[in-house]
Amino acid sequence: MIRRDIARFFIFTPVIIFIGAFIIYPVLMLFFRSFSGEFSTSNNVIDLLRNNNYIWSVVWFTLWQAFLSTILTLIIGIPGAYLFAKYNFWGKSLFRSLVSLPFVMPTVVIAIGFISLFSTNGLVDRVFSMIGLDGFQVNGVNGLVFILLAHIMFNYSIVIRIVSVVWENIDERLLEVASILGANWMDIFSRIILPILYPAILSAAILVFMFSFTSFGVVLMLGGYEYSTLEVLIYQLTTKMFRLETAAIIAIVQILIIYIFLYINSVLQQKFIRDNGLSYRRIVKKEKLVNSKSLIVLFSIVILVFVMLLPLVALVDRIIFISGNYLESFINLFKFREHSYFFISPWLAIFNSLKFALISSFISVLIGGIASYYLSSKKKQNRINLIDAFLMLPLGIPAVVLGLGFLLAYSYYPIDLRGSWVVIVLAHSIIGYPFVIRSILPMINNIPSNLYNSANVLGGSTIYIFRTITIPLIWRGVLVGTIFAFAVSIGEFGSSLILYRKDLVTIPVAIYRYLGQPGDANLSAGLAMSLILVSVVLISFILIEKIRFRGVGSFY
Amino acid sequence: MVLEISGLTKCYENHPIFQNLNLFVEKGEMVVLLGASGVGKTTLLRLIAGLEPVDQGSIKINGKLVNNIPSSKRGIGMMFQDLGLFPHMDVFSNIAFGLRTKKEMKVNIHNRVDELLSMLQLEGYGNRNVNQLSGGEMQRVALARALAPYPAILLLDEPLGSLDRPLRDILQDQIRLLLKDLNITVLYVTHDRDEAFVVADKIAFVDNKRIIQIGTPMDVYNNPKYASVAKLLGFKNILKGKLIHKEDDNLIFQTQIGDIFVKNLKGTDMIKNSMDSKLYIDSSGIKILDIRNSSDQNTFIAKIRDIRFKGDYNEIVLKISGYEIFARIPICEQRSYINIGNIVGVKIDSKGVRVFSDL
Repeated sequence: MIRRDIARFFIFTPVIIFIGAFIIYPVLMLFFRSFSGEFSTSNNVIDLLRNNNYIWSVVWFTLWQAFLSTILTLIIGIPGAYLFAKYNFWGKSLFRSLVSLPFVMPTVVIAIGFISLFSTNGLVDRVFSMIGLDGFQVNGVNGLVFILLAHIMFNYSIVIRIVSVVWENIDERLLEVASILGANWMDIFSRIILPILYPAILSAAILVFMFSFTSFGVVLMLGGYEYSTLEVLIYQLTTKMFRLETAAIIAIVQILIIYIFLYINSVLQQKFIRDNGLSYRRIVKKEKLVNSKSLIVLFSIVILVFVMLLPLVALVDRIIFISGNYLESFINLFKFREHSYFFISPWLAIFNSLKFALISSFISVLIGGIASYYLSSKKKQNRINLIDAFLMLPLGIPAVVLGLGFLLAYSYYPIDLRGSWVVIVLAHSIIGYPFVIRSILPMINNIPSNLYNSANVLGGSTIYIFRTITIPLIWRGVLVGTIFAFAVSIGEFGSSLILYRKDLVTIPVAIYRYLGQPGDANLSAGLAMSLILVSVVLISFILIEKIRFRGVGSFY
Repeated sequence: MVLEISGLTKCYENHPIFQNLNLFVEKGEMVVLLGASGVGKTTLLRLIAGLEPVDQGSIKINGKLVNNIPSSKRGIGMMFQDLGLFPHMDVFSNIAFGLRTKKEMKVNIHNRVDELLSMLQLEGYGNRNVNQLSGGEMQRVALARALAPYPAILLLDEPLGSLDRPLRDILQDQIRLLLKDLNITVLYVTHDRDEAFVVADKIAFVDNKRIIQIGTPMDVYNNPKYASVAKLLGFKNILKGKLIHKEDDNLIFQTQIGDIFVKNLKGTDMIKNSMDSKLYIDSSGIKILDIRNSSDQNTFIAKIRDIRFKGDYNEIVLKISGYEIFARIPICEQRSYINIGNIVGVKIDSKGVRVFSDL
């Protein structure tokens, strides 16, 4: 037994080294740098925060846009959760996949979808002029509207998944009892359903808030000069103004805020588990959705189809509109003016993206797999929980901050990784491995321990048991985790952008660059690249949905 | 009349569960619905509560037709087997729920809940989380919650079904006394005969899509009209029989264990020759004889399979022609030839035989 524990720990060592070197150390460097350098006077932080109104206005905007995004996502998401929880309808699983699609979509693509949707001669513009509303100024629409819409689209599935699971498990009996005791549907909703859903709604709200709070790609591309989140500010301070120390201070502040929210979330999750501890047979009922006149149902379906899919439709539409057909746009893309100073090779971007995704998904699976094996230990649950939380650290470190940490940590002798592809791969691996753990760990934990005991009694060696029992039972999880990590890397924007060098360009960065340059050729190149990106992510996503068992690999 | 159900019909997917069912419950009466599992006892309660729509017939509560009134307006109380306590509320809020939906004054709610808590020996439990209660405590909270808004009728669906035997015995006594003191009208579903005997003013037997017999426990016990009622009452020794000879008051039935002669049997007028019927043989009307002096009428050869001690009598399991018959022999009448494995004579007293017309 003791020997096995030591072996287990020994196997876990690479994970500790990896996390120490590439997460803890960069974050420590952030701390270190924020208290040193040109701000070496003792009260530099306070000075900075006291005298810089711009930073405060960004903090303020970041907070309230996240708050507004959360409220709006909840208003739209809760009826959707009701639809998924209480009804069976044709194409339900397809719809379930569709709502999750934006969540895995690269933010760049969502942004470009919205730009296409509302631009001059975009889908909305043409539809409006078709029905005789020429005067409507689509371009006059405030960037904030785009940002909020994109956040809703991005986070809708979080609300659906978290809330609908709890909703569909509410015991029908409780509603019957309430009804007999004289409660009308308003009473039942406000006094039974809502209080039971409350922890789930709050938990979803915190996640939505966190994702909106750290929003980068969407705000960078849709916010213009007017709107900027802390993430965008960190990026601009780092790459445009070379104020690394200021960026580091803001990054630290941001990380602290995020961990406060993560902590509240975990506390709520605990409470949530306790509240539903009443153990008796639950009666759950689902109705077939036939000619339902319910407004909520109609509302949800409209949201599903329009908000979720319209930006993607608009993207394709835009490509057709600009270039007449798809083909031409692709041809344009690849016979691009190579002599231009601003030229970014699409081939290089695709090559880089694939290379980074392959290598980083391999590292993610290695780290995530070992970590899962370690976390699956049934002994010392408290310690395991602590390590689990520790391993989930990257979820609370925004990509831009991670990139900044890398810049600070690995740009100096003896380890100077500036301009090396290794940093990007490492950043992608770090962002990817929590997804791998969330895919593999549930599968390992689902293996009944009796299986191991029987195998042990039957005389199987550890390696033999691993090969004949563990591997066949978890390979799906491993595969799902790999594809997840691959898709995350392909679509990753924040860290790729802050660590950008011309020869390290990836597809999302290329799209961003194309859009930043004038001319239809650049736009159509950006659009075409987006289409490639969407296809890759879509295929990964379909594979994931096909392979994974119910509930496995759902990381939120 | 608090509850009047007339001509009730209910179908599930074209399959009738009740057909033309009638049931009347007087004020303050405790009626127990006794029936095998799956006959729709729970469904009947759900129909009365308004949780299921009625297909045909009428349900009246206090003389008012409630067919189209939603359950929230019917003014009834119901307690489910699985209780359905609100997990997110404490004991007080659970009990107060029905009063709060009626927008009662705060003082009144407090007084009523306190009254119920003390009535059900739950003093001091108001702030408890319902997850922390024992099974019996949960049961009492659910009962208090159903009683709180002064329901016209209380529907109890196997209220003690999930408890173990000793706790059931204690609680059924308490519930009976409490509900009688409150003079509340109750419809109580169970499948347990003993529970029904303790609780019921009247027992209504549900079978064959309707109420087949209703009466006081003594009434139905002494005079079950149907074999299915007898079975629910725990009667053993029910045989399939066929009338093969009828002459004045003398009847001969052909049964699984052989021919049985019966004389002066009440209610056999409608039994015709060669008609299938069911015979019940009272287990205390069975005498066990030494094999050597047994050649009388209604005497059969049997093997003693088992002897079970039942307190003041022994239950003897007899095997006659491959069929099990139970005899009840007082301890004082123990004979030396009554031993497991012995072949004995069995004499059936024709006065202890009853005939049912149903199948």
